[in-house]
Amino acid sequence: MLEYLLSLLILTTIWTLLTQSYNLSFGLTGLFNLGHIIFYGIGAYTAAILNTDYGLQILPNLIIAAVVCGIVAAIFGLLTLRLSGHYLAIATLGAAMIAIVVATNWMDLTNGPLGIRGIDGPILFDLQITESWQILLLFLVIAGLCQWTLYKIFHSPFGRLQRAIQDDEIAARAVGKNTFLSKTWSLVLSSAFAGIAGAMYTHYRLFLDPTIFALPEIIFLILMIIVGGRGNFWGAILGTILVVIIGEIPRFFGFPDSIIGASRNILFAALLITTMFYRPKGLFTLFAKKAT
Amino acid sequence: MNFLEIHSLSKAFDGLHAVENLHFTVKKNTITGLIGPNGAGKTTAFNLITHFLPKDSGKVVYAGENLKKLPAYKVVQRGMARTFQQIRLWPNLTVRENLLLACSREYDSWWKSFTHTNEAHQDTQIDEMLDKVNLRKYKNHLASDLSYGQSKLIEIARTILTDAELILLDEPASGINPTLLRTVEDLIFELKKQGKTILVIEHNMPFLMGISDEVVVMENGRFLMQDKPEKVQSDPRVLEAYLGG
Repeated sequence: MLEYLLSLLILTTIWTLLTQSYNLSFGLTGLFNLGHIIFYGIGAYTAAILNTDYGLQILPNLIIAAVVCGIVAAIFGLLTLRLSGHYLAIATLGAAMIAIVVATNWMDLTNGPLGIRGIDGPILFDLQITESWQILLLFLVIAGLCQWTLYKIFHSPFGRLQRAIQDDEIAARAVGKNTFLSKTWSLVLSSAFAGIAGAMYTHYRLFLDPTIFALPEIIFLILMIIVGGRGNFWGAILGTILVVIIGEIPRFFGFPDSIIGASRNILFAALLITTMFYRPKGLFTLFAKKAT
Repeated sequence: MNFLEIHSLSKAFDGLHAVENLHFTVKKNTITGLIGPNGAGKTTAFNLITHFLPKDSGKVVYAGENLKKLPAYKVVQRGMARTFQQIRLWPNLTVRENLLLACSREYDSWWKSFTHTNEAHQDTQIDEMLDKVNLRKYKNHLASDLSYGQSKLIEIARTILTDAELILLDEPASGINPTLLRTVEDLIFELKKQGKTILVIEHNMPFLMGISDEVVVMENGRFLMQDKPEKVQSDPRVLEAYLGG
């Protein structure tokens, strides 16, 4: 039971960072980017390849994963961010589907559907971290630093501009703001943090295959953000925790494994509908920092 | 000296000529009115001048520089800012935040936009501006809480805070009560005193004729005339354009 709880906490820590990274581009800037999971996957594969082929360990891998994702996001942004709304959603969804195909078929790089095995767990300065509680502690520190940086971004003049762009992009141009560049930076930063989350996942799971790019994952990210409140920093964290807890409930009712997944989806749908009806700005608006 | 020169500006939407061969000039440190019946193409002309719409042909020369295909945000950075016919505040931001985004030009540097958090200087600017429009008590209210007239004033204030030399106001007097109208008028005159140049679209003729040094008249997307307000008011071509003969 303890091992289960620790495992859940580790995954929640990773997911919380991933959700917050998406909250920057989707929640704050309003980019309806359905391809965010690509960067989680790229970060994960970057760490896996660097580790298995070049022997690099978790800390450099986190940094390189962030840089690689940032660069890919900049290119991705240049290609897609002239689009908006549904057009952007369709284009990014298409990109996510391409990512799955590439990860499945580029055997030399990803080993295709067989996946990459033999990834090292976290090793810090030659010290192998094996116990789950130690991994949790390490991930809490890494994710905490990332969350702190994201908090600063959310509450900086840059963050304010992102909220303005979401409200009315033309008005932002009318006060001399380069909105295309701002949106690109939002996507780059958001993707870099998703890449870090992906690298953390790799060094925890020790195995990686193309299912990391699974499209339904983006639905969960959107669910966590809608439940927490779009653009609400604390809401994204609490929304993730709430969704993880609700997702685990069916396990404790003795349901057969075959229907746990379906019952989980019913609960998520109920949560989403309830939120949209009764608290469309999110369940955790009380925690939103009062605008000053 | 001509501060703004419009040469043969044209724009068509699916064959419909919204603006056709438009030309006029605006002198530095003047208030120029832009009038015309509904559908004359005034707002389209504003959109073309400020590059919020790409022109089909023609030239916009601002402060001696041909703006060519400069993006709209760079036109603002050059010193030409505008308001909109439909108010475009950020409703989910406070009044202070709406104004901060206009006066925080130092944040245009990417790195400073993350690191610079001391905004005391900008707050002083904002307080002074809010005092001028008598809305200081709304500083920390959401923009969505303001009335139509108050929103109009905040939009004008935001445009002024960009520190533009040429300010284009699209119907600043429409839908606001006489008290606020007086505030708008005072604001425009103060801008002129500060050496700014103002181009105003307005349907409220007594207001516009009272503040303008010159008036440009448009009809069916074309230039009709440009002269002193008293001459424009008595010109038979203008009367015909408005009254339809």
